[in-house]
Amino acid sequence: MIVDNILLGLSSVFTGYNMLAVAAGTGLGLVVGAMPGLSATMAIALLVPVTFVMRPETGISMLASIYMGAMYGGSIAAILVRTPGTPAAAATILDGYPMAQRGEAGRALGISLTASFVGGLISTLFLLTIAPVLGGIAVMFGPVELFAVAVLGMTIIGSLSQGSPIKGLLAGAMGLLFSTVGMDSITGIPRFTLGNINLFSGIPFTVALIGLFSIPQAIRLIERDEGAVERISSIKDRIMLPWKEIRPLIPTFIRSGLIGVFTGIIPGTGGDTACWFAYNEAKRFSDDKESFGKGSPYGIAAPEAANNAVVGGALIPTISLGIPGSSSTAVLLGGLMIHGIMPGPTLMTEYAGVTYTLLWAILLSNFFMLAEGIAFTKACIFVTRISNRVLSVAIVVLCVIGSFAINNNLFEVGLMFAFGILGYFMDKLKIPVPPLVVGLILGRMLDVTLHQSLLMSQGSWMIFLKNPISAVLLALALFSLIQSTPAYSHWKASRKKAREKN
Amino acid sequence: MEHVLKHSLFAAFTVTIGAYFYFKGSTMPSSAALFPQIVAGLIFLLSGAMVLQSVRDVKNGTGEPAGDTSARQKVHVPRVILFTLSIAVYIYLIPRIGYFIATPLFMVVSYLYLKAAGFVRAILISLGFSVFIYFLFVWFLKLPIPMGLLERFFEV
Repeated sequence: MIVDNILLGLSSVFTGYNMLAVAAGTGLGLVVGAMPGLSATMAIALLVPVTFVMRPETGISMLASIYMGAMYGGSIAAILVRTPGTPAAAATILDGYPMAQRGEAGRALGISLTASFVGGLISTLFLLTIAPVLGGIAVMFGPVELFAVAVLGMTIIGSLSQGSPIKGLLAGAMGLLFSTVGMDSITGIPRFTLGNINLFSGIPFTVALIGLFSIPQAIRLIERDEGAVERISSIKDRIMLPWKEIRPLIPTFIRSGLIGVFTGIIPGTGGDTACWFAYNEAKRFSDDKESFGKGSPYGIAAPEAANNAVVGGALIPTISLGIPGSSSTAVLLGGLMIHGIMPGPTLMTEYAGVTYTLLWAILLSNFFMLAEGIAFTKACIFVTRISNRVLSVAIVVLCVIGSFAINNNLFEVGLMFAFGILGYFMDKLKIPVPPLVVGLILGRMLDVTLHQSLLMSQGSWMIFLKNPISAVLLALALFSLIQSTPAYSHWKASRKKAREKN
Repeated sequence: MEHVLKHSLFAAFTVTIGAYFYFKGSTMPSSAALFPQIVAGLIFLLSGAMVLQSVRDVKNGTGEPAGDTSARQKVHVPRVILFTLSIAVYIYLIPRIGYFIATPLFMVVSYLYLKAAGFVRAILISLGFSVFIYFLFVWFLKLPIPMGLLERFFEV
């Protein structure tokens, strides 16, 4: 069955239309990633409405390719302008820019491109092997287990999000609350619609995420003066690296790729965490620690392999369990939802054609990224010169048309703007937005599975503890919650002190 | 104390939303109210915890120190407010004057206000962008965009 589906996906991805979408998505991601200030998540959110007219497998493959392309594209700005094109490229600046300053911008970009390619390949291998197996197990889950999976996903995302766990959990709870707006799927009564017919079908997920990810970004781009930016204005050396230069980097590629995959699998963490993790490990393993921060090739290879490996890693829980591993994969799920495909274990069975095409599209986008990277990286130097203010206004225009395009409804444009304002204030208070988005996605699943479970147990909550899978998952959720409390940090710090004393 | 005040205001906002869902839920059948009421309860707890945490942050010196205006000086608050208001006006105008008048107007005015481009360049960028949007969304995606004053020119 799994092999059949894998072959089905393989035959689907190699159709001309799908290959074109993957190539276009990767190229677009590369350009978007190279623009400082534009994130992969925002680009995917803005492109979701455009994929509406495509077949689901084509649309979702294009969106995932944007994610892959943007991960490499982020390093272009990091290396040339000393500003990360995406947050996941933050660590690349440390060694990428000094190497470019030495007149080796092409070499730095070549290392980044090769590392991104290898990292992406490693993650695709994991994605193609782990996701179907995990999906096969998850498909046996009933409402009790699904409820526990969703609770675990929410608590991990909330507590592992950047900043305070309390704020992460609060954002997640807000998302869950917003997900209850609209017609209740059990009783059929409208809930919390304020009598507005536009809200009867709920808060459109894509509209909310366009607002949450794009409007705050547009405002952030204009809120400060743009100072004079140091930049590398030309690339004189070759981007393609000779084998003798690649060979010593291979262990770093593999180690960082594995770090990226496993960081991506954990919901709530993404490329921005993985890049620093991989950088620190590369430094720890290096015999020449002094060279880090001064243009070390290992300092470029590690974060770049890790951030591309996050793509496949983050897609593993997204596809097999319906729990997004990062904010970008949450938006990808939104892309599926506008095609009427609901996230959850059925992605691997009922929608196998779409899902397995996506898995192969990720692999294919790696090769397009390598080819397009070699061909177009030098041209991307012009993209890094676009002013933030020019971009900001264009983003707003795209947000407006994008949110209108979902249902041809101007009310939803206003709703998008309201979510944008909410997102901006959350950003100012360092309240993470991704848990809110994940709450919006998982809310309906939590609500429905809670009802179904309680119906099965005739109202007894013990059903969640009597079921062994659910009990283990809920225990893990409780552990993740306890771990995020100040009391736990205090206990850990005092234990560390005591150990140091001894 | 500004740090605590900001968090308290946001907590007041989340508690208000939670309270609306909680009390509105109590008028619904219990099966429809159960999940939103549980989540609203969580919001009350977490909002309180967030405020307490902000107080602790200030005590520990990990919050935004009072009187530190260096970060705020960099953010142009009037510019943020005006830009945000201009987005609201842009959205308001779309059904009234039409998307393809409101969009170039918003772009030109914003570019001039933000000093992102000169007059001619602003007009060229906004026209170019509007043409791109027309071809992508109207011609390719067949989106029925409100044409407003331009309706008769685009009638088939």
